[in-house]
Amino acid sequence: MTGPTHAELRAATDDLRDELAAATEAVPGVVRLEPTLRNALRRLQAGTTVLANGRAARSAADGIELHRRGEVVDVHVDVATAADRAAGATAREVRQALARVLVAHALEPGSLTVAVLSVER
Amino acid sequence: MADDARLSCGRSIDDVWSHLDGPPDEHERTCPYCLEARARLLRLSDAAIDLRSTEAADPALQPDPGFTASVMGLVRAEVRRGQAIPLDADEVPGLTISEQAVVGLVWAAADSVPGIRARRCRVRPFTDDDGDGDGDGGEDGWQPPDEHELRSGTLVDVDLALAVEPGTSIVEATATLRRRVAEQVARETGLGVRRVDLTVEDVL
Repeated sequence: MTGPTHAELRAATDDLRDELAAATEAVPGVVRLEPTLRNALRRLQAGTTVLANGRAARSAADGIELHRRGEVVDVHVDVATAADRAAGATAREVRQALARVLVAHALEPGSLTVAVLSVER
Repeated sequence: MADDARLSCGRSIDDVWSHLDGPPDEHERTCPYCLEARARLLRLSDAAIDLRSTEAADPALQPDPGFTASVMGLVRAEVRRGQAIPLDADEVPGLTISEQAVVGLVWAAADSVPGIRARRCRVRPFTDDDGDGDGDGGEDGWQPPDEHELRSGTLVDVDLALAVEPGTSIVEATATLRRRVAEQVARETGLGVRRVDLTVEDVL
């Protein structure tokens, strides 16, 4: 039995990224995923999804970066939050939401980091 | 005071960018905010040059209209962010808030105090290396965090320079300002404010 093809892994990684982004934006207090220049430059240079050896993949979109290493997934999100909810509480709930998505896909949460870049009122 | 294009010292990012090719001017040579901004802009400039070199080899690559404006918007936001401040001192690390986000809240609190005009602002996470654990305040009605609060959650120190309007009671205004800064930062970020150091620089 063969494993997924590169195209299948690429598509699955992008789908996972989009699901994680949606879960982040659904958390109360999150205004949006915040694009950063670092994220944009990395995507311009290396493409949105890169497969290292068929078992690892990186995927990024505005405000989110995902790195899959086998069954372990690291996720970083940059967000803008609303002033009517403490940013710390929002960030904690975002991390919990990311973990739930990964567990639902039978994946192991690795490093899950959330950076609040702005607070909007 | 809140201005999306200004560094914490009040200088415009566009001003720093405009003479990036030359040496830092007299203000920039001693300003930590401008020096940091110059370093970040130089790194971004180098990255942009690398990208342009790559694109120059492919004549089919043309920027979309408004691309430059979009990139400059990102550059301004990126350079202003400052350091990342931990949001949870006791939990698994990885939750942070940008210094500039907190500075914006401090400026907003200052804007709400009559007679006060906020200027430079710096927010730093408190560490044990900073010396004694006592915060400033107390005599103006604002209480620094207690021992329980010091042990849980991230604490920050705020340094704020300001100008006052003629006729303003500095004692009353600064007492109000300290309370509002601590309340607003705690409410909107979850961070505890250990001390608020105020420097009155000018009378308007």
